Amino acid sequence: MGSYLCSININHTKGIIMKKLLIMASALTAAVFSSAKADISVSGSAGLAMISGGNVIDGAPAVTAGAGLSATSASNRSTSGTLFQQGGAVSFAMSTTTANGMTVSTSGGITMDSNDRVSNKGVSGLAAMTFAADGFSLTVGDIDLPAGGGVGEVGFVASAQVDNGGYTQTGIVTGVSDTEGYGFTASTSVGAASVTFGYLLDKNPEGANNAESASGDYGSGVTVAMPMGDLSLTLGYANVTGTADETTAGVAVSYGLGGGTLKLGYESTDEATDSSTMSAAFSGSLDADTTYAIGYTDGEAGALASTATEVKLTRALGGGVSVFAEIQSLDGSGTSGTNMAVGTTVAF
Amino acid sequence: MLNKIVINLGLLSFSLLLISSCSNKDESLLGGQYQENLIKMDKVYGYCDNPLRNFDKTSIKYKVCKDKESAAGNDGVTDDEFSLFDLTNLRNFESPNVVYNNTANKSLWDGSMNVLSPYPIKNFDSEFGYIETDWIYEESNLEQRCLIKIQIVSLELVSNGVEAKFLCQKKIEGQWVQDKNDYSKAEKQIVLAVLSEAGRYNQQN
Repeated sequence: MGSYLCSININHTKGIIMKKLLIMASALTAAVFSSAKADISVSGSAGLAMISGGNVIDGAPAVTAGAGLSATSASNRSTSGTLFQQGGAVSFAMSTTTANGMTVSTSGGITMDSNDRVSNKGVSGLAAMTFAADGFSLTVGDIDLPAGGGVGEVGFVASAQVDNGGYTQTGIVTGVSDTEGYGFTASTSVGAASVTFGYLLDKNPEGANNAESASGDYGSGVTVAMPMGDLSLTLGYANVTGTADETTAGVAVSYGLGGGTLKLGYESTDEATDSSTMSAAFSGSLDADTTYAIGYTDGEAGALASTATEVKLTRALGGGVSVFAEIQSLDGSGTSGTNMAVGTTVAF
Repeated sequence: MLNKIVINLGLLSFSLLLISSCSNKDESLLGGQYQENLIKMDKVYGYCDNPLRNFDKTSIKYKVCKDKESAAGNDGVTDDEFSLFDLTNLRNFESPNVVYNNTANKSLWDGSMNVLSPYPIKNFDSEFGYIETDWIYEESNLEQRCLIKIQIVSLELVSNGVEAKFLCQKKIEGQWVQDKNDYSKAEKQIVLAVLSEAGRYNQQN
């Protein structure tokens, strides 16, 4: 650095020392800065759980042909025992930044799902790219339709683990049937509000990484989130076409209350069998490492009606390890009962 | 017809993206508060369930995100040391030790501290991502001085997640006054250095 400074020949007397200071700062930054801004990061997690409730089902569910998958029949058995389940995932995130500050990224991964019954390890991702600049983000490829799953459903606070307990409900249906396909999503802010818009060129693509625009199976969705004083309001609307048009609209309100967060939601779906749900949830913490969440959902789908109450307790143990305990109580249409799950997850 | 309109809308969105990447949108109605809104919604929904991020709930990315969220606990920090349970805190229901998430990306914070490590630090706030050096003097001329301010404005490791500011003064008749020079080039160098170091810390973690 000293030889670099000595090589400078500045004729002006005024500001010479400050120029040296700036050169020193520039030399420091040049020493650590390289022109390459590409980055590949790897992260992962694993999980193990014991699930019980009604007659649990082991094995794997049936797989429907499509998107590069061959059809397989279900291979399972129903018993009154306790289900043991584990899995893990490795996620690769790749990104680079252009000279003018635009970030381009994509991600992919390898997984043995720890939350649901599967029979094969899977590869996913690598089918979408995200372009992000100052205040704007655009994702093209395999996307999830904004608001497609229903923004008004806030009561299911437990993980998918507890869904394997054997007891089921059939009266709570939210969102449109196909929320994933090939298209684009765009996010930005308009004043204090944030808007995410998405469009599916093909909601049932034949391939895993391509689609054509004349499929006839389209979808569109938008979510708008904005603060309103102490409240946060999220509105969502999604529509898919095809054999039968489906539309879903919902609203969710969040409010900080008593050291936690209270959420209220409502979702209405217009499809072959119309459905609606009302839900509420409260989440908080007992200390810096222990969190809890309680959720309640009341839904109707045609002549069916169900309620679901979920409670989840999570404790972070340090080193990336956490333990959890979940309870799910189902009542109404379906097979009523209480599912329970306890387990551990590790983040790498 | 509608399909073509929406495809054109997508092309328009991409064009807006390219245009916005070349301009300063901090004060604009469109996109100006995007990062700020992202942070606010993270506090309400959590990073992984933020509707603005639109994570596919069936994706590996979402699953790993949720497991990391569980491992970090309510304070948003994954402790290095493994500890089983502290029943003393769990019994203390009347005054739970609630620590809110930081608003600054940790890698950007570590990168900023590393870049400014040769200089004396006067003020810093890790929760809000602010670092300010003390006045920096040259031995050969004590009539001029500068300080550097860094503000981390994003929870994510993004290129526009850190801002730097140089303040320089000169002594005129015994009084320190602000000079009128433009230090935008040096500020940009600092930002690039922080981003580079942040990327290194992110890979290590």
